[in-house]
Amino acid sequence: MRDIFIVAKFTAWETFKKKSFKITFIILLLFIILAFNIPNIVNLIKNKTDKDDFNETILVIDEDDLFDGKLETLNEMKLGYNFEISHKFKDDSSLKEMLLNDEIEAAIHITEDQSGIILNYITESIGLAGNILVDGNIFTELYKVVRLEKLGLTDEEIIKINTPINFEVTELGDGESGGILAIAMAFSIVLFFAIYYYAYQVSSSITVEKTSKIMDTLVTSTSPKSIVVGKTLGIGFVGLTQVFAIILTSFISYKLFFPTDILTGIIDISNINPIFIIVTVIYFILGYTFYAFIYALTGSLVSKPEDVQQAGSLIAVFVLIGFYLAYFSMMNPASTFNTLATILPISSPFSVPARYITGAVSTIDLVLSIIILIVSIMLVAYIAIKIYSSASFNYGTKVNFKTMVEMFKQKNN
Amino acid sequence: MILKFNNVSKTYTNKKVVDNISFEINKPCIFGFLGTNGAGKTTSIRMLLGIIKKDAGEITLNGKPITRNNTNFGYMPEERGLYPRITIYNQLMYFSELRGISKKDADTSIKYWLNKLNMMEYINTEAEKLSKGNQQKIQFILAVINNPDLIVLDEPFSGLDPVNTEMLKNIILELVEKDKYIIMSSHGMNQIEEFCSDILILDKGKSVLQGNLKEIKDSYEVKEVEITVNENIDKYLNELKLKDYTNIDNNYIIKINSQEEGFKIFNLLVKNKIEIIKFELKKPSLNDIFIERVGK
Repeated sequence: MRDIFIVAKFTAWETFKKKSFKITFIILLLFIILAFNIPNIVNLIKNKTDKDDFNETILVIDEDDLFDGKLETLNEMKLGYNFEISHKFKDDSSLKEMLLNDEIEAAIHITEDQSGIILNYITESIGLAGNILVDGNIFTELYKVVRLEKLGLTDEEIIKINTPINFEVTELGDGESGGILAIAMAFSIVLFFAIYYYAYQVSSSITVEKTSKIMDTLVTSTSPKSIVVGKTLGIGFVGLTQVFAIILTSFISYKLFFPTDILTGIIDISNINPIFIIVTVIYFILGYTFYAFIYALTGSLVSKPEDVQQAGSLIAVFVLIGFYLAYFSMMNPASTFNTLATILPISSPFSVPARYITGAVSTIDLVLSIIILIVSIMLVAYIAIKIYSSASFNYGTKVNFKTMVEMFKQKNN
Repeated sequence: MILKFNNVSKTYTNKKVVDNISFEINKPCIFGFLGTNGAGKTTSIRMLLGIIKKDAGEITLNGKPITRNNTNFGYMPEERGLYPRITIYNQLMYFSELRGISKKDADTSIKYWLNKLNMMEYINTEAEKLSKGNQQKIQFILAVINNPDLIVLDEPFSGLDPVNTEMLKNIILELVEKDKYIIMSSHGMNQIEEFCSDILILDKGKSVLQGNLKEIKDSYEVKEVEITVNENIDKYLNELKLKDYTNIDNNYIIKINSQEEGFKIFNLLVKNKIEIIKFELKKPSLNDIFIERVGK
């Protein structure tokens, strides 16, 4: 136990001290702060643009007053432009001159024929993006009001006609999923990346020891069990610290900078309760440990740094299968995949916390899933430590499944 | 302290890499562990240090099986390795702690050994910035940092310059004086001859020769005589019908069949008043013995 702690402390401390680690971590935290400030930045730019754009004019020519003077309301709508209403015809050359002299940004010529009202949007060029400054639907809605008034309807009747129908959804399952699905998905993705990233670090750490030929010195100083478990704990501690720092930074940034109204109707933060956080942390730890032991095994099998990725790619396939299983179970809560995603240790770390927040996982399922994951961790750890003991001295022979089985059977201390 | 290897064997994938080896070290000394590449030296050492389990036999220290927990040993492996981007102090401290030394004692020991090997200036240097020879000196410190009773040194001198080789030789001899049991594996037969009282030669996992080095050498007949004279003595050698010899600047190496034959040459030269500068009856060197035993 003492050796496990020494290995864990050394692994964690040396990781924290790495310059590359410090720099990437600081950049990550800055990126999170920036991400939470994106709405503010967008607003800042928009406000600036709005201010500037209010000085720009769009000329609306309604010679026959087809809109019954209602076009003046365009300026009340604060669409970002100053609408100049004219009832006098202007030919193309005079409009072109106004456009070239920047007197106007665009012009809208309103006419009527047998098919109805025609809006002719006149601009210098709409460019590749087809940029049109005004939404034609605004004029359609405005003209609808003009027509309804002509039919003798009161303002109240007109408002009633224009009020959209409310479309509501009622879920009769154990929990609500709609409002929190986005959070569930986000957590699932974060867990996937965190677990994958940190578990992979275990593999890298072991390969560094193998390629730097320090294995012999190491295994004569402590047992393979202490090395594998210590490394897993050490990097896990780094991971937990980083994840905690990321969550804390996100929370503070959210509270300080993020305009909460922007999420109304999209994400319901109130569903993130302490139990959900505990479940998430438990699954992060267990999921990380499960994959860390698998990666410890692959790390011990390779002798050259360039082989790490190749050896890890097979495991990456399992991680991805696990993640997609979790993803599909979230997208389709009624699917039979859900039971599989909850039980299988390759997918439960990504699936269960996310589904738990939506109320789709019962307590029995949760406990069963944790038990299966713990048993799987113990099994994987046993195999990983057994093979590590033999594989760590293999400096050249390519390892295949057969040699892995032989390594597993070998007697080692 | 008695270290015993008793009928120890190890098989990997139907191949017996160590086959029924037995030997004993019962006093502080340097024991030479020899063999060609792949002879089973490293596997034997790993079994001795408890890194891998033996399939048969017993390895005991004072009658008890050797384990990581009950034996204070040090190991300098053939595969040299250090953490490339970690400072010398930090990695020495890490391994000291793993071997159960307190931080305070480890700090004292680290500084003692770094000073002794003229490495103090590198205490806070990352290992990858050290020369190969200096990295090897750190490896040696790793083997002795915990003041072990049993030290296994696998090719301790390879890659060292003559000055550092001499320094390390003296330190190893000091360790024997401090009652340490040292097992040294080397391909450098001169060093083994210089250092080791007892040897064991392995070939394809089997012990082909073992025992006290002097006794082994004494058991061999004189095979050559080296004579340095001031003039050409070819005619005298022809007189004695000796044809298998070399002559470089009147320094003769002559193959003989017995010690008596050597004395015959000596007497003939004296009789003919030839001035003899050097006369040495030569037994086969360890190198000759090694080649004879495993070079077939």
